[in-house]
Amino acid sequence: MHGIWAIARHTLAHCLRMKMAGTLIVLLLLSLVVLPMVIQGDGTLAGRTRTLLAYGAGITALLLSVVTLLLSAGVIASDVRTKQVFTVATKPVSRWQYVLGRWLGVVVFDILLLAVSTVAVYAFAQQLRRQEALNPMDRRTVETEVFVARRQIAPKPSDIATLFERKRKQLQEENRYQEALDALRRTKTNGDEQEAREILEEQIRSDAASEAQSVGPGGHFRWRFHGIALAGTELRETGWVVSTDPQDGTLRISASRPFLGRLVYGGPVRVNAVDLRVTRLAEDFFEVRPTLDDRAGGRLAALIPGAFADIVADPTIQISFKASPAVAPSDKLLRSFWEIINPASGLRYMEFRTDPVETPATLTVSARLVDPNGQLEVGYLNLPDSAGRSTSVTILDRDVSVLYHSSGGFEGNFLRAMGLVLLQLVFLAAVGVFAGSFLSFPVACLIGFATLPLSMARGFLSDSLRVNTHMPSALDALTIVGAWAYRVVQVLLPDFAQTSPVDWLVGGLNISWEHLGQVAVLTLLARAAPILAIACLIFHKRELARVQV
Amino acid sequence: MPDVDQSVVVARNLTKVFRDFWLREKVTAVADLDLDIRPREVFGLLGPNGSGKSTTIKMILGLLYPTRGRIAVFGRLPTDVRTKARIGFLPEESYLYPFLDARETLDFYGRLFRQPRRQRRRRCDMLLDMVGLGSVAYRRVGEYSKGMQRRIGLAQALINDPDLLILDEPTSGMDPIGTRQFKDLIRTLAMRGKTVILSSHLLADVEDVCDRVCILYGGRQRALGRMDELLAKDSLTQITTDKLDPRTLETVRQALAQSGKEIRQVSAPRDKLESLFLRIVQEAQEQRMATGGATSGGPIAEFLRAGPQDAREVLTRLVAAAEFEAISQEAAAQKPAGQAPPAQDTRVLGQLIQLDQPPAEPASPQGAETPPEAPQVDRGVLEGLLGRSEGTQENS
Repeated sequence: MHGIWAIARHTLAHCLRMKMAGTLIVLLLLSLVVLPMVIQGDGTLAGRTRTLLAYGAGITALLLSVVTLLLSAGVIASDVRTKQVFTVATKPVSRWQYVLGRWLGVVVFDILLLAVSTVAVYAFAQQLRRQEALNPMDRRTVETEVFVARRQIAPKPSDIATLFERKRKQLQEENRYQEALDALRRTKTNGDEQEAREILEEQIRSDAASEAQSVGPGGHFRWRFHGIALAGTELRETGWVVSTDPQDGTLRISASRPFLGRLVYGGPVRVNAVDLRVTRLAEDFFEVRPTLDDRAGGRLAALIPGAFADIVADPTIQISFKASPAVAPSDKLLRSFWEIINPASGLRYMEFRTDPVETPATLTVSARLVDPNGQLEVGYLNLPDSAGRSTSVTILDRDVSVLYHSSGGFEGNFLRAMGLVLLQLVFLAAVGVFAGSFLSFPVACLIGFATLPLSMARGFLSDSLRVNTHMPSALDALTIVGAWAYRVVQVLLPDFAQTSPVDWLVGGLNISWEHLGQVAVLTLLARAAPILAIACLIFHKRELARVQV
Repeated sequence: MPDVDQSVVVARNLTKVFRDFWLREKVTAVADLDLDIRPREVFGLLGPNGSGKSTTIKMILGLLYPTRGRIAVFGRLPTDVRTKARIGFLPEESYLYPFLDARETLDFYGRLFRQPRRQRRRRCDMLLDMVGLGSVAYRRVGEYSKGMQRRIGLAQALINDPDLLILDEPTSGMDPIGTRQFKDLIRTLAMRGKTVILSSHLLADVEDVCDRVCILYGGRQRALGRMDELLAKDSLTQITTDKLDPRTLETVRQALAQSGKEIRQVSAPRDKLESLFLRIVQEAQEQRMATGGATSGGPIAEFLRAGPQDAREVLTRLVAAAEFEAISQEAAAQKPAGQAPPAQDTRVLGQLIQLDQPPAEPASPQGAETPPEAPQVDRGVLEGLLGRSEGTQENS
């Protein structure tokens, strides 16, 4: 370990004294200063903050990836080219210690640069956060959807298998199954019945999936969520009524700042045990608008100016969804009715909503709607649009989820996000060192820079190169060879798109330690470690001097 | 055959073949080389360009692997970490890291030997003073002249007080002062029982310091033996006297003629250019003239000098020397008839006995005004062995 660390320190000194480090930091800081000014996004503070976080993390990852590849490909290759390796290899350091030391030096350099950019991105984001929001909704989004670390739970998946079986049976009973099979055999599969059956059943399965995730006019979805592990407790306070509006019944209630800090605009609050929603949030008061039923003779009747009110701020959960209509309404707005039910207690919350089509929307409700077993039931009713026209609506399983606050805040999540970037860099450093251990610097760079886009687009390529056995036979061989070649690449390279922190940060989603650990195992143990082991082996066998006669 | 365990470097049938991309044999850089480099000797590797000197050295260092044959250093593979811990290597050019300054350079190499911080610091100071770079220790090595880089290269080779010092063209790029100090250093190290392998084109350097030489040509060994054996002219006698007037000279000639001998050459001995140069520099230094480069080196670093030794250590060394002599004689006896047995190496014993005495004054250019007596040898023999005509300019 001593030898490795001595080499690593030397590599770090080398990296730090190259102009590359200074140039990179200047570039990074310039991008972070200029980007928020140039990119306004949708004009909201939330949009600008998300853009900063996305570009900050993205640019950091990209710039550091390039630098890592250049440095790691060069540290060994240039040592061998300039023969500086002679004086190191003849010292009591094993070849494997030399390789690992070089790799570790680059990784430590990455950690330093990543620390600088993490502080910079975080500082700029906090600076942006303090700027004035466009409206209360914008502020609520910033505070509850951006500077948070929310856990995300997907619904229990639609039962596509049962629907598929039902549809197939129906086709068979109507003799349409065999007809379709014959047609496919004649036109597409050159008489191959097995292949024709596969195509047909894939088609039926696809239809079943679409049907399960769509509802017709007046139809409804019902999703069940499991495993919601809420953190946080309710906050109680006795406030006093500042004023009441006789016209619409609005109550203005004064409360302490810590309590008001827990409320969000449009979010739930309980006043004298009545569930209400915050309609205005100020520094020393909030407003709610009870229905007339709530006021008349109910628990709110006694709330006159100067009276005390029992107020409770519950933890909240959010239901995020994206709805796509078959035919978009003229005003591009979808109307719906939502019902959220606590399966154990039967407590329910209902709301009519109007949301833009094909845009992610969020519904914030009290966490009391989650039962003690962490379950929640959510219902959706498809309502006619403003002109009274009805259309089918599709909400895919992956486009609906429950988001809730768990232990740990934005700061910890941001660090974990940068941890994901670091894992990416650690892998690239291993690739660079591997290539540099037996190739010249330009060729090693070429290998490294081929790895980067392949890793970034691995998911996309994976889908594109999926073996399509339905293609004409002349192309089959080529496609299959390509797919097999890609399978090899898939084993060797991690999927950077999957491990990128950008989507997590933009969505305010919690990156769990489990996820980070999983990526670390897949990236470090399953990929970087074998690559480094091969690099050590190659370098051990390699003659470091050339024969000169 | 010498006892392998007693040799620092043993090579048997060492062959290195250079192949092209298609693995076709292109050049045989070293062919069937046998070497036994013994402890405490200064061994010279000589040969013209492309004779296989550097290839041999790189195989001793584990930077190249033999195609055939085997090589062991301190009884182990050259790539063994324990072997490398006992070696110091100065390559033909100082392949140093230009972004480090001299102190950082030595500190880095010291770390590789796992030296504690205090030891590293002390050795860095001593070595920098020794190679005359103490005043520019914080300048980046990339800004050094070639000679200064050679000096720091030499310092890094000595950071571990090596048992085996391998020097590839060590004095190339060095000024005469550095060269002189360097030769003094080699002698000092040899006195301390270190083994030195020296590869050089500068025959005067080799001649001054080496005990044995191996001359290579075309990758094959052409001559191997003690310097005095190779260079001695047994048929001639040289007498040095005070200056003779012509009459006395004629008397000597007549006296020799009566014995049937004749004077072949009469000449006034000349001072060596090296001595003249060192004297001039010393005068300049005494006048405190400014210089932007390396200053004259200081004393040889304390840890590299023979320090006061206790009686037990001296005894151990003497016993080891006696054992080595016995082994040498035994080895000589085993040589096939027709090969002359090597002369008994009394120099080693003499050097060891000197260790019992107070340490010699540190070598310095000032002290080097009168260089130690170099063996009066005919360099033509050496040149002839290298296939050069006498008087050819050595500048390769």
